[in-house]
Amino acid sequence: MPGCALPGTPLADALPGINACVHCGFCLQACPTYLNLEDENDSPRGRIFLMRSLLEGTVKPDDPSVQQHIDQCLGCRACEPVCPSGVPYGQLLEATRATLRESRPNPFIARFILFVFARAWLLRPAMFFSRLLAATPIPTLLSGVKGRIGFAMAMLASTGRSIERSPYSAISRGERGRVAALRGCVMDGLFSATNRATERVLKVNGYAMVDAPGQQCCGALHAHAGDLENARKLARRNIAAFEKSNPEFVAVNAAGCGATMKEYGHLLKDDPEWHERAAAFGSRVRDVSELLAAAGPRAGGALPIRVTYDAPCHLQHAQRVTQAPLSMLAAIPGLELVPLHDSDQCCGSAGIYNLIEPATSDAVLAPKLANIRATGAPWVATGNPGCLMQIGAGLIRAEISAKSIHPVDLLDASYAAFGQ
Amino acid sequence: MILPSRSNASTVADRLAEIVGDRHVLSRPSELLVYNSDGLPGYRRQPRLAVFPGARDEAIAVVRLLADEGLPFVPRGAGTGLSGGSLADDIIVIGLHRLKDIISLDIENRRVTVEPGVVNLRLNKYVAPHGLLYAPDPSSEAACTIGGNVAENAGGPHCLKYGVTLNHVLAMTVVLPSGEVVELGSKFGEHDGYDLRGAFIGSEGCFGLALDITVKLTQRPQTVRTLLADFMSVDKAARVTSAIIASGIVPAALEFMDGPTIRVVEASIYAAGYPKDAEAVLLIELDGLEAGVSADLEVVRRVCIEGGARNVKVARDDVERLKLWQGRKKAFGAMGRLASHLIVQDAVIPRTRLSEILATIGAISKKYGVLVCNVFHAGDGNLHPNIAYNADDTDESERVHKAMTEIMNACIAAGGSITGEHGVGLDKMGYMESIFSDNSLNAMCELRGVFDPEHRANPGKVMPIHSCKEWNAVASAR
Amino acid sequence: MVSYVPGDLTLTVRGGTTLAEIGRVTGEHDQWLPLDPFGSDEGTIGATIATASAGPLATGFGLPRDLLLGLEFVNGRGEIVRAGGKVVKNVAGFDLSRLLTGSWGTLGVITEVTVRLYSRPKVDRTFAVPLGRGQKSTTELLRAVAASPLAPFALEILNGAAALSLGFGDNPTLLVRFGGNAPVVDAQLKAFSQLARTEEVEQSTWPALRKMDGDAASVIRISTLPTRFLTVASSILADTEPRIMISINPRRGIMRLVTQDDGDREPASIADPGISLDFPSDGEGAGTSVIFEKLPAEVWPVVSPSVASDPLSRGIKKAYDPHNILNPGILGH
Repeated sequence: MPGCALPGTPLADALPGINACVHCGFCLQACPTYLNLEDENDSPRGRIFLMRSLLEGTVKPDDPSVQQHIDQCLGCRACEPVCPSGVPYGQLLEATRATLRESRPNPFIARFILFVFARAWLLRPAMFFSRLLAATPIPTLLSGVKGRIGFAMAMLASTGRSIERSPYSAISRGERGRVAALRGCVMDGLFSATNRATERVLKVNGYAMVDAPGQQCCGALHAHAGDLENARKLARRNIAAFEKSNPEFVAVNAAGCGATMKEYGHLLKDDPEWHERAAAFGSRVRDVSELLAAAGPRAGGALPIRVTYDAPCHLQHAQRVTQAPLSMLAAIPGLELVPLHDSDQCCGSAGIYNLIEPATSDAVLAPKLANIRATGAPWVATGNPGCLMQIGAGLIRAEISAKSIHPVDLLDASYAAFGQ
Repeated sequence: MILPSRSNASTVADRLAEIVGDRHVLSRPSELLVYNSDGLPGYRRQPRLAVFPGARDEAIAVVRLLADEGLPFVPRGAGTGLSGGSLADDIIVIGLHRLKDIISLDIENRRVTVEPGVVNLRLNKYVAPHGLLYAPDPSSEAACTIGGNVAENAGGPHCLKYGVTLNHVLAMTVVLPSGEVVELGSKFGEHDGYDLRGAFIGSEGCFGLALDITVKLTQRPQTVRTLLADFMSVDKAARVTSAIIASGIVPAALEFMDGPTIRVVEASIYAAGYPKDAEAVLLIELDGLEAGVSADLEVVRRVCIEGGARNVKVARDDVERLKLWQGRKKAFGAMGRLASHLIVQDAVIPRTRLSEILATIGAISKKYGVLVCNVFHAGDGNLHPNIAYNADDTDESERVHKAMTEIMNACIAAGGSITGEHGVGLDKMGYMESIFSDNSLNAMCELRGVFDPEHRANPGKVMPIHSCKEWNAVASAR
Repeated sequence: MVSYVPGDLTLTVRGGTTLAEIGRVTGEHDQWLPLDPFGSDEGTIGATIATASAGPLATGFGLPRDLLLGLEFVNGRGEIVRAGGKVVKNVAGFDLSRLLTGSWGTLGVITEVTVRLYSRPKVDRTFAVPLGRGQKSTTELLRAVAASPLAPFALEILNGAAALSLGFGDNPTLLVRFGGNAPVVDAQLKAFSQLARTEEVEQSTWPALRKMDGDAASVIRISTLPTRFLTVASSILADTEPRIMISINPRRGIMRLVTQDDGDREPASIADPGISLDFPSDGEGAGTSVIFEKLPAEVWPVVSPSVASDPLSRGIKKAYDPHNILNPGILGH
């Protein structure tokens, strides 16, 4: 384009991706914010048009309406798999947020969260406190309180509601290769039982588990918020940490983290020292369901429960993994999978979005809850901590008796039942 | 033609907000940017306001307010149009996408009444469990709205056998630009009197807004078979198309894609398995009763092979069939892979002239050094030569526009039409006088004048303004 | 004939060309224009379009508006106007072709018409089903046909009087026409035979049915939702008097009442269908329209003005025929 208004910005670098958009509009119906807010400014095509306008100079980065519509994007990337032109929307969004950050900071709550997550010495005590809090009746008591505090408490309360199972010992022959698992921040802090279950089910399916000390937050939250600098810093540390233990695969049980880690190559594309290492690292990253599906997975003991499945956006859209989680559920004898209407729609969690844009997040969550209620299933399986807590909190506050659960926990419970 | 406003814009915005709520009126220029183009971003026209009614009564109230104020407006659905039909400078955009209720479904009588913002694909998902479908299937069906279909008299691949929008709409409730609400057609049957429903369909937003639309549904065919025939020459594929039509078989669809199109589709996530080295493929679908389809399938296969097809493959199952179709339907979007801008043509030619016109298009593209991707409804003779180009390159833009004009003139000379399904809009207004006489254009203007005496609904579209004799007389007297 | 390229399956003719002539010319290329308005093939294409007249084949091929691609007419100022085109798909300009269809000559004199053609079916057969004699009930049979994938070219139900005039005895009769390639006709016949006892009849049955109007005093068309005919068909067929011949097209949702002149009816009563239409009342959108196709001249002024009394129609009439010289008195003027 003649005369770029924002030269040298991440957005200017992203111009080829913007140019790929031919304005066909096929993304509109895939976009949860367009469907809920009903304004093309809140659609992928509209936001791309705003990005183009920023570069053309027809709007300025400090224009409040532009900031509002870019902020309101969930980053679910449901638009990507429907785009005939292959517009890398997730990358464009990150580049835009990074560019807009220069003219105004993120909201305080976002800055606070990102600050904590980028620092292991702060994150550990924060998670410890959350875990302590989650173990008390306080979150449940406060979960009905109106507003964000109540929702946050409901999120915490939802983490303590997994399926009961008896201990069993998992033995691996390791024939499927060496795997290092990402511990993650929220997973490690609030879903540590799921992390342990992840190790067990991978072992049962023939993977040898190795540790990767020194690993950190994956940086997904930072990248989504446009804080690319901290995202890159975290990515480099993780690459170095995992390289040391040299696994064949890096297993991730948080879809959002997996999506970001698979794309470390893009994140560090301009870093000559790290680019190749990042790409090589990314090619080893697998969602845990992918590793399990590749192994079958092995059938477990009977678990006669009814389960519905909700696909995390960063698994189905960003990573394009759709069948593997279902094959995990199919490996559980007696489990009845109840189809969930619009299971491909976002739940509104989107990292820290539900805390920053609560109104839109609630609007997106409402139909999800109604559809879950309609299934009558007591369990909703979904493989991402954000979705687990968003749906879990929504279910508690809507007084729906269903609980959210990671598919790994269901498979683990099935293996536990087999062991008895 | 922009009429003076009887009160200033901020007052109008406030009063519109009283009707639809603050959030659904846009007045800041930066928020209106997105509404300055449709599916053909080569045209940009900056509106003054955008208003999105959320209920039928709100839509009526909006139109009445604009009538009182004497303000011009343009309706917009999903903004997937390909003729710049929903754009105008300094206009008030009435977005109807929030009117998206399916009002009533009558399964036994095979008809459904919907609001204008209902998306085609959603309607089809809704009626599919009853073994029914809404037949017109524009390639943008995943995004476009029934209201937009009515405005443009939309077509689609399966219109070859099933007919276009006008063959499927039974009735509409319309708010005229004056604010008066009228029923056109009949929800329950036939009526005498003028076919005003027929006149309204394809009126490109110039006659008013449809508030609800009753359409016919079609029984899902017992059997559907889809063939993919690939050719090493465009000419052979064109001749085979003419031969299939001349054989008397009416395929459900008969689509043509040339080599450049095949290759962009195959590079996209909608890769359908078209052979990448082919110069053309035909996607042919037959449907109906199993017995009849099997017999026709053999005839079509034979015509293809005798006509020089390299391979003829029949989709094994629905998964493969849908994949073949996804490639075709998303071909237009996939052209973003070639360049940032796309110009799309929509001419129709007699079906016996295909081979000749495609050769002419080939020669024109060579002459101007532009890459034409042909992807079109061959069975209807409805061509879509697309040229992807860089709009910032003035030399290239000029060559592209010259090439398109020459292609259009060749189609007109062959006895064709300037648009088969995209509408005239802004894009093809300049050609109207090549195919219609002054008297014919004036008769169309008179019809518009009955629906919209003040020419406030989508002004400056479809008809070159100077072709409206009476309107010019009125306007110059003002 | 203005132009006819058989490979395009389109035909352009002057408005005064008879349907018989079109049938002859297109038949030489194994093609046809599947329009069979009531009356006969001696009628012209211009009149067929102007009156939007359709016959039994509308079941399989649609109404005149569905087959029309473009036309030329002369308006009330003597100006020649063209609309549509000669190709099978066209959205250029406002749709004056549909506007003129069924306008009964009140907006212009149609001078040229372009229509889409079809290939003549290789096989085209007609079957009669006597209703009520040990058969399924009429309603049951029609429901079964509607639910099946059968795609008949035509499907008409005749009352006793109409059946008698066609030589089928005085029993209500269903006529069904299947066409296409041999396998598709055989398959449909086989499926249909499982629903009802059928007997093949001559193709000349159709022209005979169309001529039933011949010397009738009045022809009234009643249109409503197809399902509403299902519930009343049996009673209508059972209790009519011999003077009124009835045919019902259940797919199109119309019933035609052809009444013979008995010389002593009041004009107003001629416009009355003369039978009880006991349609179930089932809510919104389920209205009934009564369309007069033929009435004695003196009765026209008695029947209430039709829909052309609405402002839009009046405006169009005024624009196209400012001096009111085109078929004055029709459509409420």
